[in-house]
Amino acid sequence: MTFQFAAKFDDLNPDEPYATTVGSEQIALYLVDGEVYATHNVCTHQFALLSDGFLEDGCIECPLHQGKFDVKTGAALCAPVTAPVKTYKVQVNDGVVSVEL
Amino acid sequence: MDTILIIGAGQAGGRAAEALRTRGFDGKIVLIGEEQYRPYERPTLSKGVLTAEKNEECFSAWVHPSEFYAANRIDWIADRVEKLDVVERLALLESGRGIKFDKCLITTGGRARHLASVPLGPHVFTLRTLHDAMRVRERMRNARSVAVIGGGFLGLEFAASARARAIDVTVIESGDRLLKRALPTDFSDRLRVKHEQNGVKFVFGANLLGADEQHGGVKLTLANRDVIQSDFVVVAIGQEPNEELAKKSGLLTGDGIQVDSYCESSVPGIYAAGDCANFPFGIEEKRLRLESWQNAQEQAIAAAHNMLGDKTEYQPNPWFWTDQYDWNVQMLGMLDRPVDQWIERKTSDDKTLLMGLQGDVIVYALSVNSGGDLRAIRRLVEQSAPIAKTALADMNVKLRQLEREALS
Repeated sequence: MTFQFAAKFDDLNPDEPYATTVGSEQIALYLVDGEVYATHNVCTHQFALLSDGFLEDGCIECPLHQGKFDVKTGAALCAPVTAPVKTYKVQVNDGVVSVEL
Repeated sequence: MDTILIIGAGQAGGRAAEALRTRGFDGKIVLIGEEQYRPYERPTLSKGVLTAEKNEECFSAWVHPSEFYAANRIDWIADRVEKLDVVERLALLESGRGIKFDKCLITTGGRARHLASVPLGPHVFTLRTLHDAMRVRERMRNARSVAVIGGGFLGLEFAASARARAIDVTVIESGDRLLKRALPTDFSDRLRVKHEQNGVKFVFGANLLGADEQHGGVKLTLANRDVIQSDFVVVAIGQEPNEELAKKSGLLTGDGIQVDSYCESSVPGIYAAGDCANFPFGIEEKRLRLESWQNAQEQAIAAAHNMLGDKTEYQPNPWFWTDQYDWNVQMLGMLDRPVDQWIERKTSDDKTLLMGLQGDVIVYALSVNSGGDLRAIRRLVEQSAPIAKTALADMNVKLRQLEREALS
């Protein structure tokens, strides 16, 4: 497992998840209270990009059916999602955001 | 110890049972359902269940894992309530068993409406239960054509699924356009075009006279003498609320089981929620039933809380979704309110947000593949917050920013 480049910190916006591909994985980055979190970008319920969803209070809502995940733990918080989404360790150094894969 | 009886083990019944335990109710919970399956959600029955590659993988929308019921001391029974004595508080089941209860929640949902002129048969189906969906899935194998009676959400989702399996589809609709009450005319047309682009044929203003099942297929005859021949037929003309038990037991019914805004029926201690419940909606307290995943979920939870002593009015902000082809369409609010002006934030034919305003307030919104945007304006709709219209129409202005400004 190594930390790989995901984004520049300055590209992140607290209102909007940031979608990117790291290695072969689709990743969504979230800026919550100055900290960066990362989850797999595909909803565990049906194919949809979480980065197209609604981010608020540290939770991302899938755009398809509004199932909610905690971006810090990946936990599925409300129906219709039940399976948690994968999370990744994040490092921010010198304005560069890296994700551990 | 108190016993709460839940009649109807669908999504609403399942969620209510869970909500009772989550809230700390420690008494007995009996959950009775006619279907052979534990509580499940219906949305995938017209979509994934029909299009999935393998039978073993086609369905997974259970409300809870199977261990949930025993683990939470919820007595799930596959049976039917024959008689409900609301005075003696006793339910008599088809099996002969009797269940004494203190409070009762009726979540019997609805059943698919039948068309007298097109009776069910080996090639004519309705689509309401998982059992129905598995039969339809099987019939779709090797079928080359299907006639869908009813151009509502279910009929259209089924049509899209049939097209995904390369089956020719003809949708027969009695109205002059699709989803007259649910969709603005302009979008109704876009949806029709989307289906036509995918090869679906439509017949509008149709008056069905009868059906002839012959040689492994069905011949439908219309009043104008047109004949539609297909391998099989799906009748998707809406649902009838399962209110008969309630009516027989002395509860007030009429387009569902009549409840107040606390989900309580005309008999104290007896509640109803989900597809079967008729409740006062909106500022005008207009009585209606909401047939949606959200209502089955949230009204059931509200009823459970009120059964435990809460006094929380159920005042939903209707939200609905339908998935057809590569379109995820979501709707917020209802079109019972007049709209003075439509504002659209269109990215493409396949990605747009359409909003209906009354003055400066968004009263209805429809998104195609823009669920995040719809969610960004949801609070504005829920709170009837006035919005700056020019900014709303300007796609350079971010909706989150607009929402923040409008609500501050």
